[in-house]
Amino acid sequence: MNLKKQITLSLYRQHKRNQAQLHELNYLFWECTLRCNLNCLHCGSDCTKEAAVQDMPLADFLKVLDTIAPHVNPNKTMLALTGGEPLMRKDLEICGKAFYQRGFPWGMVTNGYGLTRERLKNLLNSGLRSITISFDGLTPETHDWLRGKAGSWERAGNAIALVAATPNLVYDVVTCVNKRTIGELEAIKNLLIGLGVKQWRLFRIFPKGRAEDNPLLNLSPEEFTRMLEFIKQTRKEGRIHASFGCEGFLGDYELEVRDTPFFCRAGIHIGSVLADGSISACPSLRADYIQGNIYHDDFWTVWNERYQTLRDRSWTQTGVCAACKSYKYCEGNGLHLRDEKDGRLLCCHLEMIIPIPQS
Amino acid sequence: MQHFLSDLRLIVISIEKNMNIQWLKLFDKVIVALLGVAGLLMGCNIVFETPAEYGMPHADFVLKGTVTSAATSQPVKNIQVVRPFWEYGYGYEGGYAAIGDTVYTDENGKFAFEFDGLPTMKYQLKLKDIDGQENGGQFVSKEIEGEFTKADQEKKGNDRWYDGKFVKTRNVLLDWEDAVVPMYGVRPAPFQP
Repeated sequence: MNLKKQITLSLYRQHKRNQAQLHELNYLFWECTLRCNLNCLHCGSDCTKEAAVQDMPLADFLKVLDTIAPHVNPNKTMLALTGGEPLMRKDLEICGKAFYQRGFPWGMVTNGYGLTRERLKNLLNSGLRSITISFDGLTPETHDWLRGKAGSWERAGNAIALVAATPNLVYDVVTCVNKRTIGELEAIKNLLIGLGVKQWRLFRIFPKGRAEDNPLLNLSPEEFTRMLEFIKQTRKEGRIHASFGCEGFLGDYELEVRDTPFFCRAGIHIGSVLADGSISACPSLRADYIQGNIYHDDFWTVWNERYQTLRDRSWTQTGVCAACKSYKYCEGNGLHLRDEKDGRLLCCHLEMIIPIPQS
Repeated sequence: MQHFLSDLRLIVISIEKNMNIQWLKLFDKVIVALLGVAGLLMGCNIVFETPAEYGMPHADFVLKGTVTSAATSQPVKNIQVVRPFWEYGYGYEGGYAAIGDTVYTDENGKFAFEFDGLPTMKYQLKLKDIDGQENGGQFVSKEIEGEFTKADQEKKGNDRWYDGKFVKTRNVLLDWEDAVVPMYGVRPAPFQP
């Protein structure tokens, strides 16, 4: 790693420490449903069409917002609706209006399957400010395979075209890269550019939930490194702003494939209210990362008085991290990549980066 | 000397009334030559134009630079750079103001202003990221101030109001707006009333 990057990451390390101490909440997930209209191979929530957990009533989540509103600037606290599939909620527009009336900008992560022109219009009228749509393959063959439903590729493409043509709406497209799509990235990029997309985020699929035992979903080190090279080159081209998700520390690829250095902000800036009322950070942090429950805890008190394991990551310096020279920058990788019971690191991005011949 | 000048003025008036333009110009050249000699005798310069009573000292300015990401050291394109209207009391009180201007950094992060203003002119720049994440991240807006000095002078002025040409390079580092974009989360967006 060159000196300039080392200096930048060292400064950023101090910034992260400061932010952990400040822990200013500015991003709140709401897992508004566990119902889903797709059946994704990689689903981390094991969502189904009829979930065991009922949708949380809007009024319950609004109580949380009313609790935090006096302590934050609502205008600068982003609400991100996730699921399940948020569009499964028929009262989504009512929810949006309630957020808007309280001054919170809100957005949602969707598979796009249920996003018609009319629905988008209604959501925009309800204060929708940001949207993220999943698009996972060049053709229905690869996208529908991952999403577990025929026709989902076409619906997602239509939804992307709709949002790309909507002025003043923040949006991006996310792609979960797997063994079947690693070779399609160049063509997917051109397809998205053709649809008018400006922002594209790429992830790998992390080995949890349904993805844990599916070998087709997990990239090899060479494939993973090729993916990073692809993002790096795409950013140099400047035709579409590609970036790697926030999932892990990337060594020499830091600042080459993302806008900012790696920073797992779970519990530092990011909180969440899960479908059953659990208070967590990112929705992918469940089990032992749960800090409380809105049905018997005050969210703001929990935010201020708990989350110790998320704000002080020194406990992660075990196993492969114990002797790692990059630990000072990485601090144990993304928490969602640690076993929720014993804290063991399930995936080290740094170890997956290998020298590959330049194509 | 006062009598001489007074007499000379009367002579000029008399000749002006009686000569056509061509002769008048020729006569003026003679007068100017004589004034030159007179000036030499008196140790002062009375040949060259006296500055207009209500003229202003002025100079040409070029203010240019490169906008770079503080974190990546890469140039940042499409940053809006505003050189505001020079407000009252900012460097000089009253009378004159340099017209404001707005430019955008190019592919190499470069911007440049060319303008005319007071020789001791201060400047102010307001930089703003107007396209969100598209230019390599959301950058924090920045305001900078500075002043042109003699060290920036590339062309000398003359003995009149013109004070020459000043060229200053002012490079700017911009910091990221430390945006939160979690896995499986949406990009943050500002609230829109």
